[in-house]
Amino acid sequence: MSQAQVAKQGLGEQIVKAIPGLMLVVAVAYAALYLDGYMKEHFKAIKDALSINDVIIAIVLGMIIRNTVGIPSVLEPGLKYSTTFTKTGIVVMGTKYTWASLVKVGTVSMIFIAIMLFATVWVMFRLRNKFTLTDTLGGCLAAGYSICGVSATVATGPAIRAKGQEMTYAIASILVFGLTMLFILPPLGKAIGLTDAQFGAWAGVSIVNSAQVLAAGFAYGEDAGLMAGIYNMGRVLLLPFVVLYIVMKVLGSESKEAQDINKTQFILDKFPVFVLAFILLMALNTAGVFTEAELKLSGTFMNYAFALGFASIGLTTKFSDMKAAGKDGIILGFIVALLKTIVALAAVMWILPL
Amino acid sequence: MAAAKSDEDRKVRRQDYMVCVLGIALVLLAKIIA
Repeated sequence: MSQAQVAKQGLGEQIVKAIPGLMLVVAVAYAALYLDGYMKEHFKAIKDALSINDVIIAIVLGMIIRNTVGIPSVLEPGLKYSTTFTKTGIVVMGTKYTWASLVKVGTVSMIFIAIMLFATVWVMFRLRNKFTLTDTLGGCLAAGYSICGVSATVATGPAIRAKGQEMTYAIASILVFGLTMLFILPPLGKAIGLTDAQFGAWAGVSIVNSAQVLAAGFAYGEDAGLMAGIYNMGRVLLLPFVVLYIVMKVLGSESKEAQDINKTQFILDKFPVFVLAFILLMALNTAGVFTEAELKLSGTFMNYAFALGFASIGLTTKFSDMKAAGKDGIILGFIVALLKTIVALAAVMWILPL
Repeated sequence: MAAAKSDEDRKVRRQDYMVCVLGIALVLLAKIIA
């Protein structure tokens, strides 16, 4: 079905079509929450050692279903709301912070995040020539591996006129990297002996997909998840600026097309508006609007939103897509991302005031 | 023109507005029933 046809499709029809798939998402999320509780009660040592939590279980369960028994086509329309659920969870997450917690993260950390973002793009473009990649695919990979995975690729692709399959490829590559890190970083962080704050900052810089950043953070611990959330938000805030930098690099900053870009308008168009709702809720929490019980229930709603988002991600992750993505982009992405992971680890251990 | 607002930008902006409403509604719900 073309995009125009989808746009014409009534909202009511879209909702009705989404219901069966959404029911599967809810079932997987519920199973994950139940299994998490069961493991907490009966296999706590294993759960803690492997840093398994409800969000990781939701992703794994979803992936098992998708790649073994498969998903009937009638369920597909309900599986495409992973970003909506995850972003909703991030908005609610605003109630977990105060201005004081933001100040604690500090200017130094924000400068570090900005340096890492622009350095990732720069390194990606430097190394790109050694691989058989087009400028536009390089741009998509640079956006995805520097800022926040899927959203950044989607924001950059049309601006540099990337093909649909290049965007899909970049997203698949980023998700493969994130999934790998999701299972490696928490046990590694424990082996190194990182504190919650250090691990949250490390995951927040190293892993690019917002959902995977939060999953890794919360797998390590509640405080690590909150720190990862702040770092993730720092990256998201810088999205429009980094996308503009990538567009200028792909088009060539001297080109007429690049000079014609209205940069202020570009940044406004790409600004992630949901961040404002997050900030509003954080401001209300700072002002003491919420009681302990209200904050606790909001936290529960946040967990439900994330569980639904991660179940959707698992249910839409096809191993065959990852295989079809080919190796060059994945190798380049992994090299750059691993470099970033190592630099970030050194920074959280010895430089950042965490 | 590369700088023109793309369909993807509009789609993402609509989704962002929706998650703002959903997120704030969930917190309000928590405030009402807690």
